[in-house]
Amino acid sequence: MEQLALLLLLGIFAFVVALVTIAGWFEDLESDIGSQSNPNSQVQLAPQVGVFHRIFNKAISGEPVSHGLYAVTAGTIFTTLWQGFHLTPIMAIAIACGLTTVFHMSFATTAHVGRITSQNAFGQPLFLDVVLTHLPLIASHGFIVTTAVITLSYVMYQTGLSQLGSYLGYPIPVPVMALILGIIAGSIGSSTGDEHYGCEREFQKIPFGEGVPLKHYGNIVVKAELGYRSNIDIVWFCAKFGGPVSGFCYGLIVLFDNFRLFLGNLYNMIAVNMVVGVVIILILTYINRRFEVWTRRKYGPYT
Amino acid sequence: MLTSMIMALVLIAISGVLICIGVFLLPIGGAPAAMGTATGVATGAEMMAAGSGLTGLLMACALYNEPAWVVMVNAGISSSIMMTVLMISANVIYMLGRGIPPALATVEIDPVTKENNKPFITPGTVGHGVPTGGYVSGIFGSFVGGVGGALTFIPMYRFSSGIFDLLGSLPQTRPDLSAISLACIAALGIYFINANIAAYSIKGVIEGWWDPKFKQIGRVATVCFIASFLFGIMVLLASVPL
Repeated sequence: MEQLALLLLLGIFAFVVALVTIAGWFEDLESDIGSQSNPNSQVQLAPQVGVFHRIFNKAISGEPVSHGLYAVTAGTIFTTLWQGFHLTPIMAIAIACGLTTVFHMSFATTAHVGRITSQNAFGQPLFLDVVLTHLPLIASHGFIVTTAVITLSYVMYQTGLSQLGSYLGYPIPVPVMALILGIIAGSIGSSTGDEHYGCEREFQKIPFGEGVPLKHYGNIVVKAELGYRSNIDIVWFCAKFGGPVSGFCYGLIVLFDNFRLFLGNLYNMIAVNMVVGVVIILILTYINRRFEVWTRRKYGPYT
Repeated sequence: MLTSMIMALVLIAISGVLICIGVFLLPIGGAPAAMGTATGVATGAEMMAAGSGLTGLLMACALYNEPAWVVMVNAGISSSIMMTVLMISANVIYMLGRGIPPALATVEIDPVTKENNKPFITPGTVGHGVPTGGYVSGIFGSFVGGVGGALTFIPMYRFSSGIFDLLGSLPQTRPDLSAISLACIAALGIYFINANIAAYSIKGVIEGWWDPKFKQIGRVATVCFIASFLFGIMVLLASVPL
């Protein structure tokens, strides 16, 4: 295979992995700034146990389908603008993601206002300044995720249908590809970053080194370093660990998967695909086991 | 055409059963795991099944013209890679971010490493983290789930693009884009349907094959077979115009 094509493929590969890391990173931060998904169950429960908060309770749905929805909306608008109105892809991506963010904001506002109003029965007030300060931040984080996912879908689609398509890329149309990537992004952010938010930041008063027992449910931390805790404090904290780990997780997954695909296509043998995959799984299992043993030895049993 | 339609229906129904088995094997922690109160990955059954299965689906789409067994095995391996990286990232956050060692709660001795888990559990919780037993169970669960999703994608793609050879390799060089889209949506649908049915049975939290809830798998697999069969009828009828 000629050198230019190989360099181009490696460049696309690196670009795709970088984009997907950003998508995963900001997906988790977007769910932290809007308190979506699993830890939000505690934010829901808090007023019922008498703990009033200033947290943006945006639980539109589970994270995967929520990001899948924004991605497929943006993908459809993008395809219409690109193929129907013949705009250049970059302009089409920007306009599509901007319109999707407006759509996202309507969901976020109605979700928060609806949920807090329904908790008025327990005395939880609806703080309008919380709505006004958090919405632009949710919009910006969501815009980055949607832009990354749409750009990624476009690059993979074009690569899949070009002359390099036999080596890299997926021949799936942009909206469906964006749906799939959005659902995977949401699934990863929900499984990894949410633990940092739920376990560590939401229940910061429980000592480091233990899980949260059921008796503490609903008793979330509402006083921050200065003033009352809001999602801005939460995302400031989670951006240091939870967000990057989610981003690296998604980046690693796409890296390993595309690496397998690329090698198998380069050598034109399916066996290479399978052997590389199994080797990766075995190495990661071994790393997890060493990690588990190290942790148990370092922290010791519960006392 | 009728024989291939019936064969596609049966394959879709079997894929539903495989996804159900996959969900029972995954270490699902649900919402409590996000607070370190339950063992497993901190997300719901449908979301985990869909997330890992769709990674396998991407690989299945890339290998659309290979023989069926190749597509299924590779999709399964892709799903497993996704789950392994996900579980290790979840463990990184639990161990370094919160300082809790992984521990099972339904059994005292880990089925894979034969170590005692009881001293490491926080009182008041039902385990936390993803211990090695849950990790290995997750690898098998995601593999089976990925194979199941590919088993829906393959007959749907071939039937929609007018090819009646459901299991061999294809001579195509350009994929039929509308057929791929429909097959992807069908696979997505089958993941959510079967994962939802299984999630009702496990009540949102399951640790692996040693969990007592695993014994209900026979009954749930039958329900998933019937539901996937009905779904297959609807989707195949929708694909006939294509």
